[in-house]
Amino acid sequence: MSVGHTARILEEAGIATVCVYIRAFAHLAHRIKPPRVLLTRHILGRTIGAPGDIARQTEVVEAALELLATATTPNTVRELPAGYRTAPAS
Amino acid sequence: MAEAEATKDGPPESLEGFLQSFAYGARNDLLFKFLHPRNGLKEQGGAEFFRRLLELLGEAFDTGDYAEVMEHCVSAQIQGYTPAPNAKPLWAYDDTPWATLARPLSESRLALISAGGLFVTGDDPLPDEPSQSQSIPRIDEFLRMEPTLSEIPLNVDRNALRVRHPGYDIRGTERDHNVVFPIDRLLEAKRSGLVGEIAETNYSFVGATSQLRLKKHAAPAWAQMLIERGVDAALLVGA
Repeated sequence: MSVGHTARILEEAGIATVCVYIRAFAHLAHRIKPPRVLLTRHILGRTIGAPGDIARQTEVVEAALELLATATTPNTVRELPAGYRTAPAS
Repeated sequence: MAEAEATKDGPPESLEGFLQSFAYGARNDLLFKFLHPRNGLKEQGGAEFFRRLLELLGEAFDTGDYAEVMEHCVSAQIQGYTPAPNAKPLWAYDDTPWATLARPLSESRLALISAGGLFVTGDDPLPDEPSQSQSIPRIDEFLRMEPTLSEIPLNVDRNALRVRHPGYDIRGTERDHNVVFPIDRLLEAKRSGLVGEIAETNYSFVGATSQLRLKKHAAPAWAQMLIERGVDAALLVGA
């Protein structure tokens, strides 16, 4: 909720935002209605990816930036396919 | 602790009490607090979560593939946190404010704002500097407080980053701040030309906070400060 409320207020002030939430909080994306939301199918507290999983973290951040650069419809909500690391870090 | 102690000599623990204990109770575990039966899984879903978890662990012992174990936990978490369709939301809006980037992202200045509760050593937002474990029983106090925005310089020594948040399991963030504060990934995005510039100062606060105080006072002041600092765009990360 906090991130969505902050996004709304920044947008009103003229700052373009993109939020990243875990999929479990998709309902907040639809109720708080921030302008651009990326959902990741991750567990709580690992929104961007597993510790040390640079490939997944990069994928998430780049997808969020793409949403920021290209979305044209208010409350665009996009979900990334699953991809949380399940093997030990190499 | 009262629940577990009461069961030593008392009546058998109920399934309800067992599931409740994961959310700020005797078995508190912020990764699994969604098991509380007031949430979407209810009692039957909570029991089924454990049955299936053990089944999948048994499979993984043979295959070495834990992907289904992870997916089971993610699915249960989604079910747990998703409110019933008829539940009355605390906050809901019909409209969406919308700012358009004045120039391409590749020429814009972007700031990172994480709700993950990070700060720099020596700049603790709370005067009594509680530890993570001390903060967890104070969750209700956090939910009534106005959030403090911690400033994190772009070039900060990464070893000086600290995290405290009574609402989520911080072990991942302690291992790698990028899991909720992806500043290093943003610097790479700047190097590859996706973003024009990353702000010299980036930010974090504890997302478990008073929504009213955030909306009425804190966030408008943050917006003003970001504008004064020439920020065009922000990446906001929930935790």
